[in-house]
Amino acid sequence: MLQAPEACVLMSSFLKKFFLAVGIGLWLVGAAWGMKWMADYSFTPGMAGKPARDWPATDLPLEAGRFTVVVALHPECPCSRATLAELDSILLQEGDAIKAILIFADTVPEEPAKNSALYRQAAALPRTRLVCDATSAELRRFAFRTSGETRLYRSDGRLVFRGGITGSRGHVGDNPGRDALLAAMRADASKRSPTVTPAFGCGLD
Amino acid sequence: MSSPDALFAARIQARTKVLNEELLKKFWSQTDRAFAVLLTVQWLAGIGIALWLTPLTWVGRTSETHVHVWAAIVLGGFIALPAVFLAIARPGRTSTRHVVAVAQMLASALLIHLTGGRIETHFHIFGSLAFIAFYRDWRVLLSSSAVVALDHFLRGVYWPQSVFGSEVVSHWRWIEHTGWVVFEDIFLIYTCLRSRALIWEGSLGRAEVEVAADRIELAVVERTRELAEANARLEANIEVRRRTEEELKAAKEAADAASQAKSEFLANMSHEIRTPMNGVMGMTSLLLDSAQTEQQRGFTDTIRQSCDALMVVINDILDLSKIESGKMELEEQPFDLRGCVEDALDLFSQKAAEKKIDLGYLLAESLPLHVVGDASRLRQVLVNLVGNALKFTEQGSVLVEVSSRAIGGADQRTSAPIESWHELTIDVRDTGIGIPADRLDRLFKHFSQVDSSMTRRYGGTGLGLVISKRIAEIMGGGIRVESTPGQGSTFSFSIRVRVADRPQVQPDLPLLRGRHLLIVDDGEVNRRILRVQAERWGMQPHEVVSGAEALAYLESGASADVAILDMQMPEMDGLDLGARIHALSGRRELPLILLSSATGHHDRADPRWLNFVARFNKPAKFVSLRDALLTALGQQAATPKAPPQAVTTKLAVEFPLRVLLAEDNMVNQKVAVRFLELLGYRCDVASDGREALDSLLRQPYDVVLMDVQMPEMNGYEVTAEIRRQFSPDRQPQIIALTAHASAQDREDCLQRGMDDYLTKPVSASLLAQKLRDAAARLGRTAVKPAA
Repeated sequence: MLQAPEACVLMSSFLKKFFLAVGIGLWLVGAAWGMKWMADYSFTPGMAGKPARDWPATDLPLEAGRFTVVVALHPECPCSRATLAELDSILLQEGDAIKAILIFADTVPEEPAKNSALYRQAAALPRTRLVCDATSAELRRFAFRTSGETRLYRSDGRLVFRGGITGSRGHVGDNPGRDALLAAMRADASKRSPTVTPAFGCGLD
Repeated sequence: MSSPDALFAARIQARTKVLNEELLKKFWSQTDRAFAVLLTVQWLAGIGIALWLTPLTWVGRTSETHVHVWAAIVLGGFIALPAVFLAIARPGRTSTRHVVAVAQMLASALLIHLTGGRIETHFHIFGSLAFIAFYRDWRVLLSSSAVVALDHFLRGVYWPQSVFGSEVVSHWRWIEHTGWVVFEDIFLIYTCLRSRALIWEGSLGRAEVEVAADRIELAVVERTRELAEANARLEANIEVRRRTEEELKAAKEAADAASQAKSEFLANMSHEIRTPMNGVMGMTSLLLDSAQTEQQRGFTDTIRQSCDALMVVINDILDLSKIESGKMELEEQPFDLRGCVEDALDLFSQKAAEKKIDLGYLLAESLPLHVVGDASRLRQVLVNLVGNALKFTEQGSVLVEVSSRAIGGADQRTSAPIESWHELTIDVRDTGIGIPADRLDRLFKHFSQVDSSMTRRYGGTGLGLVISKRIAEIMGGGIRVESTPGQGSTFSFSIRVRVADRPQVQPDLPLLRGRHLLIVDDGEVNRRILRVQAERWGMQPHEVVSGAEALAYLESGASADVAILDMQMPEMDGLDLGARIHALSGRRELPLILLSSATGHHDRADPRWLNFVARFNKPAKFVSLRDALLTALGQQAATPKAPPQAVTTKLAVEFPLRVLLAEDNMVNQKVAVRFLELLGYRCDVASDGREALDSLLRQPYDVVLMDVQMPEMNGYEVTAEIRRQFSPDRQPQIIALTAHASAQDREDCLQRGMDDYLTKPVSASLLAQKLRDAAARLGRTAVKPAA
């Protein structure tokens, strides 16, 4: 028979272990939930605009004989750095077959888009035209709602792709969006509807 | 039953386990603390990265804090802080290690996410695993790797882009990533196991050292205990020994007391015997001086001889008592060695003559004649040995030969110069009955003679040789004996003496040098003695053994300046020979010296005596021989000796003295009074000390003969009173009369104020000498008696 003090000690030890195990379990669950929450956030796309099927009426030139990719960028969007990285990859991969027009939302005169790190990153891309849209007119013409949203037009002005070219917020790497864009460039001209992918980035309006 | 080695092996194993766990817990605790820091730093770094890379998220012109920032703060804290808490609160615990490991891997996942899935950030995983290996616990590596595998599996299923960088990957790609982790784990686990083995070996070594130290300590404790027990036994032994020593000391004290009592008893006995003996011997002397018939004189002589024998026994016992109690004290006085020997031999000259035995001595030429020592003790030994020799010799000779050799200083006498010490060897050689070899060892034992028949035949106590041996030993020498039955014995004893400062002067006798000496003696020993001495004086001796040979020698015309003729010779005695020599032609003037014995009763009226110019008795003494030769050769001898003082009644006439006799014993009173009357003195008698003092107060006395032991007041007390009460001009001469015969007694008497000392039994001649000395001290001169 155990004496009372020994029983108390055993009980205390058991309770300690029990609470420790419960605590560790809750901690693991909490951490897992937190990680899931982070993943959910990263894979939640922004709002997608619905552009016209053809090149809009704009002063921006549509390149003849080549694809023109148009990307909307919020100059402070951290996720869009991944979009530029993917675009850089596409431009390098496709060469002269494609050119890019990057439209920066430049609605805050005190913080011009040209001063942003994203603009400087974009300026390094080949065959790229940077456009600072102070009035968001161009953004609206192309129906952009989310930074990183991308449009791909054939040289005849037909929209063949719309959406994002990253797999999640700010994540660089192979992803369905980029693959879809490249596939659109190689798609039959008879294909009528553009390919649509989710875009991950900050909202433009 | 386990052997001691097996027990120690088990102890080493158990101790190794404890030390191993202690060391591991130490490592685990240290690593826990390191991860506490690392997790905190990573958490803060994650927040910094989020703030730097994704501080805000925008919607148009409006912005808000980026979800990554909140995730870095909240989720990062949620992951890191519990692990940090456990690392600090419960370091070293298994649960802590696993929580820390999981937290570290979750932190890696969060960092990868916050950096946008950068492939470089994935290396954080591998670094973390290596860091987790610091625990040296492969199970922790498994749990942390399981987190990685699970994360990759889930992400691969649901968000492959977040972990593989691609949305278009296989569902099994997580296995590949996990495989790389396992690849690293293999090495890390091996490292852990190897490290654990090394830790175990270190612990084992330390445990062996500790257990060995314990064994040594146990051995030391055991040895200490044994030493303590040995010490206790030793102390017990010491206690026993101390008690034994105390008992021995008590026994020694008892023995000393007994010895003291015995000495006192012997001294008292000596005193008690001497006191009546004084009466017996004194009265015997008086009887001998009185008119008696021949028969009465014979009886009286027998009484005197018996008394003498009894006194020898008493003296021997007293000497032995002194020797055994260590109270034998030696005198250190210069004396003449030749005189000492001659005195000893003188005592036996009559006896030797009676037995017709040649008795003589020879001193080695190099012998120091003037030495410092106890002459009386040396004489005592000589007398004993010569007496024995004569006793056991029926014919032939007894010869005493003395030789010496220079020795170093004796240890106990270092004050003397080294070169002044000599060892004298004195051989007493006889031609007696000898002693069987198997009986020699009995000679020097108490009350022991060669056999009991000896005692009956020759008498003696058997103490003489024992006393002689002990005296010789006390004098730094020893005694030994060589004997051949039927041929004789030689007793040799040696002593150590210091040569007196007096220079050794060899007599220069030019008158004797070169002279021819004819020695006629049938005794070989005597001839030898005479020859040796004559040669030392430079004479040319010639020996013959009989009168006929002497006559033949002289008739042959051989040179002879002087001749010494023995009186007792067979066929022709000395007187006849002297007459016949002078009858020879040309030898009428030859100086003749007669060597006779002490017992010779010769008719001095015989005209043949006139043939001799000189005569001396055996044993041949140096001075007698020298004087006789000088006389014979025409030089008068040195100043003739004064005739011995005779004990006559004239003493009182020469030295009139008032004498008081203080003596309590009636017999001794009578003896002393009679002796004094013989000397012509009338004395007053006091029966005790008080009476003596009263007599002295009544009238003056010149001499007090003071018995030491008296009732009322003893002799010492009376003497003290006399010295205290009387003026110097009334101080009498006090001569002690005591039966105590030791030198110490004499010293006591003189120290206590007495002037002289007389030992009982008293002889008339000695008493006369003492009275004469007392008169001299009083300044009295001899009164010439009327013609």
